[in-house]
Amino acid sequence: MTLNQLFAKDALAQGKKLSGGITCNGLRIQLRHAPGKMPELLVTGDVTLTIKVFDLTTTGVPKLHSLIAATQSNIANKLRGETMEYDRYLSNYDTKANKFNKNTQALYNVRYRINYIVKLEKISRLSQLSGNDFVLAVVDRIGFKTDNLNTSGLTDGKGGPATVVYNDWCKYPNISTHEFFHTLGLGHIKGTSSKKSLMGEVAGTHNNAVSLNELFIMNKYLMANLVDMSNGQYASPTLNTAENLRKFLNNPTNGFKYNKAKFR
Amino acid sequence: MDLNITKLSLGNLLLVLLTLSCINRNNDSSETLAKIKTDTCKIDQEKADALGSDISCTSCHTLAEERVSPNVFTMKEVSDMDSLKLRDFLFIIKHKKNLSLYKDAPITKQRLKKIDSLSDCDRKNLIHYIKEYNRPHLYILRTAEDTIPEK
Repeated sequence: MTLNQLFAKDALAQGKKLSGGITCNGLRIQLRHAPGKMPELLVTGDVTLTIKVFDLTTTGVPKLHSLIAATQSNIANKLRGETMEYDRYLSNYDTKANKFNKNTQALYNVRYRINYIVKLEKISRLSQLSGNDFVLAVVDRIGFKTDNLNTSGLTDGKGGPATVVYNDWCKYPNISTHEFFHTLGLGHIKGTSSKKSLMGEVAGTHNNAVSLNELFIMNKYLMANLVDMSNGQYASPTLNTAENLRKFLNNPTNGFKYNKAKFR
Repeated sequence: MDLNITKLSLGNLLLVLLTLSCINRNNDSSETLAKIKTDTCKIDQEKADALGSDISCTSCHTLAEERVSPNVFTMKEVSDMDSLKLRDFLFIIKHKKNLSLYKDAPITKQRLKKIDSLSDCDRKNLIHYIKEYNRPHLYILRTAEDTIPEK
């Protein structure tokens, strides 16, 4: 049992709600083995993604609630769909015990039919942020120097933290989804296809398309701990979110303008 | 007299040796210059990502912190390896001990064969992809006025 599983079990025993960016109550696994073909695992179940929206602005944020609702539904829509991973090396799935046996391994084709439940929760204090949370910090300005264009979002890839400028979020409602998807391992799309792609490097109001390959990459990141996720209560491992956010905001190169009094 | 002749000969010999060494040094630098000029391999992030996705190292070298089996490194551990060690590791021979596992897995077999057939430049790009895995990635989203007309 990993330390993470232990915390999850402990939280459950104490009647606490599971916390973290990725949580689930055990995914269902079904093994299909047709003769002469690779064994296939069908993975189904609900996975909850929680993103803490940390308001660090100095001015009022009248549209924040509607932006949060729109982003929540946009993320859930983009993550909808079945993906297939070929030849994934995993612990052997024991059909009798109905669980993975970590002592032996095999290659499987894995078909994911996951229902992602997306929750964006507004927070106002640092203490509301756990180490394994995903965070989207809303700031006044990002002064990161690029060519003459404005910087509206800045994210440290794979795990975050993600940041977005409030006024730009109002203008371009999809930019928070864009920033969060960097957290799930997506990079930028360049060239002509970037104009309609959500992950285009220059944002616009028409950028909202996500390709099947991008969905596959995000699913792979989210399902990295498949064995533990199928094994009962699961909360994702720590990302050192609070500490990373502190370093990120205080890095002078990033040029953040935000309400320091709120970051306590 | 003999001493003078010996001194003169030694002096000449020294001059010849100096001239030769200078000529050789010039040749060396021109060869180095030629080598630099002929190395046209460019590390291209998009190409590196495409190769990484095609070979799909992460199918076996898990993205999780914990190894799937004791002898198969996680992706983080692979990325931590020295580039020279990685270069050696990228040949199929280093994956051969798991061949029995691949016998019913045509896709993985194909991926591993592909590693061996990669050009030197592609191999450099693949190493770049692997090393990039552990590096921090800062994504900057810029905004400009829309150029696509409303439908």
